[in-house]
Amino acid sequence: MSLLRRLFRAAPNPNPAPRPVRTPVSFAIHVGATFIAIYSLSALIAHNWIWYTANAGPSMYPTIASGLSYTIYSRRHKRGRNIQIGDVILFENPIFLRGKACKRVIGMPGDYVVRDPSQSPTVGGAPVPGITEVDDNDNDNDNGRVREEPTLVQVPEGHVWVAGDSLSYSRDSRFYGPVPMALIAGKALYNGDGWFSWTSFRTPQLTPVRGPGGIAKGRVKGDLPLEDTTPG
Amino acid sequence: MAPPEHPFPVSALDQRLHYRTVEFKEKSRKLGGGFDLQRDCELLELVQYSCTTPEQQYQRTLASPTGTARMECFPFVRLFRKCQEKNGKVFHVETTAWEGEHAWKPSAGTTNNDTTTATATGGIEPTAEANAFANYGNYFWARK
Repeated sequence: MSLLRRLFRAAPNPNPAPRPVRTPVSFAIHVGATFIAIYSLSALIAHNWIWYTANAGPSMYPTIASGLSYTIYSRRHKRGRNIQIGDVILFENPIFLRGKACKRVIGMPGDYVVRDPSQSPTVGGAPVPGITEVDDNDNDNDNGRVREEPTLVQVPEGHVWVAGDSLSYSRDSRFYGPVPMALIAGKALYNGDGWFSWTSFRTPQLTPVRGPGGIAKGRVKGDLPLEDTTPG
Repeated sequence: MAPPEHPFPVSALDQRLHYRTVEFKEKSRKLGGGFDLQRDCELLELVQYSCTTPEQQYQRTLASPTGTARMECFPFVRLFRKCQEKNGKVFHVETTAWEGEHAWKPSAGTTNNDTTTATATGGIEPTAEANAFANYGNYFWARK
């Protein structure tokens, strides 16, 4: 220990330099410049590289918890740069000022997507066992109902078509139409509770079909208080 | 504000595939002769969920003593086709309503009958129903 100290000790200076004079004004300038540098660096990171946000709402329910959770999102994908179908994006909410929305990209400019009515529980009016069949049992005359022909739209240039994962709880492009790419704030990388459980969205979400009967994920059940069910 | 939409029925998808818009003008895609969506494009899937609707959830909450209701989410697989044009441009087509288990099949002979019953019961046209904003406007200005 003493050997190390002896090695790294500065050589004794025969005539040491005078201590710099630190007036209160120079001290204030020093502190102010440090704060500006810290703020600028964090703003640079938050606007161009990576940032986090707290989010809540049931519109992405099984994928993202309906209660409070935190999302780390990449700002390198802002304004829709390198966004693909299936990515979970954060964008300025078109219906609430200064609010953010978190949805999944379904269509890129020029793609064709199924146009559903707002908050429809299915896509293209397809029957879902357990959701739409219950309605059929309630009113008997609906049992022989003929399914209406679904409509498709082409996503216009410079826009993306977004949809929440929980189809009947999401206000998305089915409600406010295609979202301009200029509103996209970034692409979600991880979502979690802020502690130790995180899910990643970095792998491609749009996957090749796994063959007949190979449903990717099972059904999800969970308790949800009623106040959590307002569409987000 | 989003630009106006031009919805078209699923049965017209094969024709509409051949057009794209460049600066809001229709141009034809370079797809080559005998382009087949099922043969020439890669099939992809994306899992979303169809959960207990708010109405059903409300009924269940009223029935349960604890004030919470069990929400069930069923996976709903959306199908996509990834196609490539002759000049290398890639575009996707959502084919959930066109192929697979959720495909829409025209019921022979009953299509004419169905539209008459829909209008008789005061149902709105599918194009108007698709556009929530149009419905909102119709609340103030009645359609003639």
